[in-house]
Amino acid sequence: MTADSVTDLDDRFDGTWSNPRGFRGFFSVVQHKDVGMRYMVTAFVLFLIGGVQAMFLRVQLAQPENDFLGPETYNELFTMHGTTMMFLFAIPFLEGLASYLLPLMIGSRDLPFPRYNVFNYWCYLLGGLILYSSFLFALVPDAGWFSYVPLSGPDFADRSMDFWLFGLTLAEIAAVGAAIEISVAILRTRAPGMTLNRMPIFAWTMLAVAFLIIVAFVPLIVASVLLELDRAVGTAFFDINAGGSPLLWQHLFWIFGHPEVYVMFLPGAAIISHVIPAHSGRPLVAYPLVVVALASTAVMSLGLWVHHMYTTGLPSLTMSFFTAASMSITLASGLQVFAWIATLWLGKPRFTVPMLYSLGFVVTFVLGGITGVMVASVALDTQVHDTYFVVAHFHYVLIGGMLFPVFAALHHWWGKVTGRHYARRPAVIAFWLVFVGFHVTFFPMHLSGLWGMPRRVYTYEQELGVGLVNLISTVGAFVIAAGVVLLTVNLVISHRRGAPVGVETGDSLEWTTSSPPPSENWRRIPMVTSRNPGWDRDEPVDADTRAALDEAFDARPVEFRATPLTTVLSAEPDGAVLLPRSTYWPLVTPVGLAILAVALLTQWYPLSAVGVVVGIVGLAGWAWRNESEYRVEHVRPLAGRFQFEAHGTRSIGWWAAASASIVIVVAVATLTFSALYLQVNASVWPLEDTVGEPVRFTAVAAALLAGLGVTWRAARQGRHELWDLSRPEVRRAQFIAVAVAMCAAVIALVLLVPLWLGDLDPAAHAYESSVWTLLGAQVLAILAALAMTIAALHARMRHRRDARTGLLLHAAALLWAAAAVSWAMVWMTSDLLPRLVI
Amino acid sequence: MRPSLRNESDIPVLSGTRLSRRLGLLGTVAFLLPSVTWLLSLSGSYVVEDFACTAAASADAPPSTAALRAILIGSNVVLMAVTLLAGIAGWWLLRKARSSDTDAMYAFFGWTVLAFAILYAFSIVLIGIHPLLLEVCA
Ligand code: HEM
Ligand SMILES: [Cu+2]
Repeated sequence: MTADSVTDLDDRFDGTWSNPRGFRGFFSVVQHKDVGMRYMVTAFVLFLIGGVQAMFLRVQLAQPENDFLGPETYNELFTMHGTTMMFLFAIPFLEGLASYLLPLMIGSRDLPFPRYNVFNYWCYLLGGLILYSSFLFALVPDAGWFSYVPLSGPDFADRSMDFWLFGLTLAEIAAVGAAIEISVAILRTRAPGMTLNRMPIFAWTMLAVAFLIIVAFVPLIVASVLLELDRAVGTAFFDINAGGSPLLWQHLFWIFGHPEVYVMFLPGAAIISHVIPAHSGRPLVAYPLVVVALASTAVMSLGLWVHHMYTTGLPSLTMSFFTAASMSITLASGLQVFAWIATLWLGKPRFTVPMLYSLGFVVTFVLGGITGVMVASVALDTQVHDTYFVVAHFHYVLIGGMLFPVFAALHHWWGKVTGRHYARRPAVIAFWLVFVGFHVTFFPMHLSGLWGMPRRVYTYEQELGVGLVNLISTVGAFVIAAGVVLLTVNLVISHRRGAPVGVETGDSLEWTTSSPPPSENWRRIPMVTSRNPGWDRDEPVDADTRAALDEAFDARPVEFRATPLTTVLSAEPDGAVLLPRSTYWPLVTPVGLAILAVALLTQWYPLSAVGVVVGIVGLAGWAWRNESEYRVEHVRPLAGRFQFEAHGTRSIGWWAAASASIVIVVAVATLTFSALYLQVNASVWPLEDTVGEPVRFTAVAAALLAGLGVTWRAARQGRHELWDLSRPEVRRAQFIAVAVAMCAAVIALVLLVPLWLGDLDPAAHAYESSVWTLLGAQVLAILAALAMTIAALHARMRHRRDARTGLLLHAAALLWAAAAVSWAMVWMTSDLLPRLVI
Repeated sequence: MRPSLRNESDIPVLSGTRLSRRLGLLGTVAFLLPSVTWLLSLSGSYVVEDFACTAAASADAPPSTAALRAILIGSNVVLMAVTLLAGIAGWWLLRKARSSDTDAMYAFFGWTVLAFAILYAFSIVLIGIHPLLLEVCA
């Protein structure tokens, strides 16, 4: 090859990785750094808004019997403050950070499903806009950030609750999507050589967090849907008079809510686990133990929700189980603190700005943990439940455990992300303002709580004697605000005028690329030989693998974007992923969902049809566009070795389909749990008969198994072939499988839909409500399997080679399996188990 | 050379030998098992106690507390034994690990599995001990 043609190829490589700018770029970019940055900027703006709301609250509380805000406004503001901070700032900011950093940390060129990533961002943005549009209509939600029923139910809340429910559901859909994205990225796209035992702690943590999001946020989505059904359709899930139970909302909310705290805290801790070693010049001490600590903290957080319900009258033995779990999690999360202290001890800590925030974090977190242990004991909790003691406790955990680390991260990675230095002095001053202000604000709240000041009241009487402590809190809040403003201004100015950074070093892989990183992150895919690739960059690597990787990926491929696939445990390269480029399509479906939400909010139902159509068009156009890019020239094995369309788990699509199936199963399992919970707890369950029709239900099961069977079988056909082969008999078998599966879906729907929309009266009783909803969910699960089957048909018609259709059939089979499992659960809860009780 | 879709990838292996499938599987299972047993212990204890007692209360038939207590304690003992079994697997992996490249993986699995097993076994004891101390369904 001549030198000329090499530069020519390099130019084409750069062209492939360049992103559109300006207006077009804004709506079409899908690259992980752009999307991650957008998430973070949006979330930070919402943080400032939530902060302003907090200042209003504090001004009102500055003196007794104040009338700066009325009780209604106060309720609205604390609700919006809590909701914004938890759902629109904390979680999305961390998703954005992960979206930006993870590929850099694990050595890939993008997240595995870039378009899905931006789809999630749009859902989040539109959800936030819907929630905040409530201000325009003077219908601001006011039922608190956990919206307990009956306060939020049809009898007490006006349409403001609908804004809350729709806005949050969109934001939660985004969170679940981000979790899928993150977990597949970590499992399958790590740099060659980054075995599990060399994964950065941030990656371990995000993997655990992704797991938490999938098992905990899906229940919140389900709970929101149930509440919206109670409000809009008149179902009786939370209505005591018709067999429902308000406690169901509390269970579902806290099954989500407690893990959510850890979804915020664990990434915070992970940031600290990177900042402390990087600024002490010493690898993290006891890495395996930190992995154990964070993983068990994540798992245990799933078992703690009941401690938010100590005052609801559960049997004492039941509560003792959860107290035990609370104690265990303290142990698990405490382990990490020892690792940090040991790292500081053995290293040479430099008191940089990120380090200051880290130390602030450790101090605050330990104090918050102590009050946490206190409220986890049943005796104390019954005393201080719903007082300012609790407000103090959770702000210690949230601000100490999440906000300080986020500020540490902003400074730690600022140079990496922007390529510029921030000014140090203002940053240090901002730290002290935030840190001191924080303790001045929240420490006194412990006292006002112990002295009997309840939370969520707009004012208090002079005689309670908490005037002084409240005034101190308010002064502290202004000090925090000053710090936050200074921090923000300093960073914004440095972004424009800061001195460019030179070569920076740090422990993890992202420090080995330039600052800011190029669009493709790595021209040459890095190979990892240790836990601290940023420090050990010159270690020798295996020459054969290096050569194979370079042949395929060194500034290659030039016509399209690609990154290597590696195995889950030992990160051996075993294939490649085709990474899609910019497109508008992922924006369309979120807009459809938002239109749907607006239609339901305004009760102008014809509009909802528009929303559904836009949503479907968006998905179809997206699928069309994808298929156009899976051209045969694009999936030819790179360097003759790195395959794009290998069978089963060796293709990235399998992981997407498997994740989708898991989400479906978790959602239906949550519905099942809810239905059974109501059934067991209802005092009246006046059932003479179930909806069960043995013949019909068996026929549905048979149809679903048929769909599963044919797609599975056809997916296995031709899997031993050459990658671009097309054989008439395989082609025919694939067509037949698609046809049979589509018939099976239609049959199942024809059997179910009339039953679902027929005689059932979802408003009559919680039993019928739950059956109605379960059947509806089952219909959706079948539609998902059908859609994937149609996607396989589409691929069959567009491509000559058999492999692509085989892969999509495999994905369809996974969704068919989910539909079948979900049907087993639906059948059991709607028919088999109730029959036992009759 | 045209690669077929089935073959194990023909990309050179980083360390010269592939991680053994069997040991990889053992490590993964042992890594996840203690978390699962703990979740089962907590949710099982909760479901048995809460659902049994509520169902008994709404059916107006006092439950057999002795039987319930036996179930609670028995199941927790079994779960703890399984957790410790995972710990033994961790110990074994640790002994298996020598110094070469993939063996660092086994050592990692060994240490983490061992730590998980100890942590979760202790946590299961914390849960399982309560039926001895408190009344069932009170
Ligand atoms: C930056 C300074 C902050 C101040 C001064 C502040 C102040 C307050 C105040 C005064 C309340 C109302 C308490 C009541 O009346 O019951 C409140 C509630 C709350 N705050 Fe903050 N907050 C701050 C930051 C945060 C952050 C960063 C988060 C989360 C990441 C957060 C989450 C919450 C939640 C969840 C509630 C409960 C809302 C409810 O009762 O429904 N706050 N905060
Ligand atoms: Cu909690």
